[in-house]
Amino acid sequence: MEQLIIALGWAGLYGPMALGAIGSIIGCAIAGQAAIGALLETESGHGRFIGLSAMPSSQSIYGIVVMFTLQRPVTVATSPGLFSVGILAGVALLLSAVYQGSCCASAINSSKSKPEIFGLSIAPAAIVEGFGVFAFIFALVIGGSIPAQ
Amino acid sequence: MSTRHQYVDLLASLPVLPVMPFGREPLPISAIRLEHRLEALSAGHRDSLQKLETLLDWQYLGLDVSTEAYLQRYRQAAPQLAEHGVNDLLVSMLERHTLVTALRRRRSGEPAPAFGERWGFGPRLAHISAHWHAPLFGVGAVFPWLSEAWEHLEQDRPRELERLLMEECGRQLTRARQYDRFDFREVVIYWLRWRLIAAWQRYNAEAVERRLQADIERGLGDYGALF
Repeated sequence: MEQLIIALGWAGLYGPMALGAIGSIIGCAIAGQAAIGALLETESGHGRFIGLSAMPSSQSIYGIVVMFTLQRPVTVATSPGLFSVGILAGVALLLSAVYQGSCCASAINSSKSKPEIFGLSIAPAAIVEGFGVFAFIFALVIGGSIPAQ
Repeated sequence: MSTRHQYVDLLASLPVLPVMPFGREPLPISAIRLEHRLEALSAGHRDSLQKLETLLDWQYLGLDVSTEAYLQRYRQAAPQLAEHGVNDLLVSMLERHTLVTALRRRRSGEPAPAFGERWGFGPRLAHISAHWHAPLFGVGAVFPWLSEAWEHLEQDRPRELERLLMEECGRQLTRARQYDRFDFREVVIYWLRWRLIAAWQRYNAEAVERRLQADIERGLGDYGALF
């Protein structure tokens, strides 16, 4: 039983990083494919499409920061806190990256024929990012309450 | 990648089509380029698109295909189209054709189709037959465009009727769109909308050709016989 608790603690420690990266992989792939498609139909503005498609990569960075913040000896006392905070923060980052990728794809698809709406069209992706930032910040805050040993 | 984003690159590579097909601007993508882009579809989806084309395009229908043969063809394709989530698009189109057929038949004085006769398509066939002499077959509330279609038919305005039907088709396809999805259904909706615009432009081209021919003949007058 003790070993299982320790294993879950390690999962919670590495979870934000791994889940954030998985979300970024999926989100960037979705938005990136939309950007590649849009390149075929547009004569200019290619850079901003590619730039926008990289937006869901920030969740990986948040995951790394949360992981380092949670880093401490994994014991029976620290594991429950590490698992709960780490996994929940990771899931939130994963979902925000995937859906942000979806928002970016829609923004690219809409703004390819109407460049003037580009700025406005990325607002939903920025809002989704905001929720990812909430999960990130409060994981840092609540992570401070987990015992050090 | 989930089916929801299966064709995100393909759909992003297609130019935006006008909302309604009656503008004068040229098609934003040619048939050859569209065909080339659609090669990105999986084999199964390409097959479904081919089946849809077989069911919708006049070059595969002709005048000698009976309703029974057509329905047989539809029944063979329906499970695959339903599996790929596009059957409802076809069903609503065929139901619209059936309603126009009923209007034409009634106007030409034909009696109500006999019970069990395969004369059309859709879940309302029996209802239409039973209400053959009722205004708009008792389905006017379900299909608000039907009264205008009947007026055009009565007033012998085929061009306006065709335009109304295309408008309704375009409206229905626009309603069916889901802007957060990039799947096969969205590809099919794009393809159907493209066909609609292409058809209208072809009509226009044919009308221009006819007018030009008539003007040339009028201008030549008796000299036309020399050529």
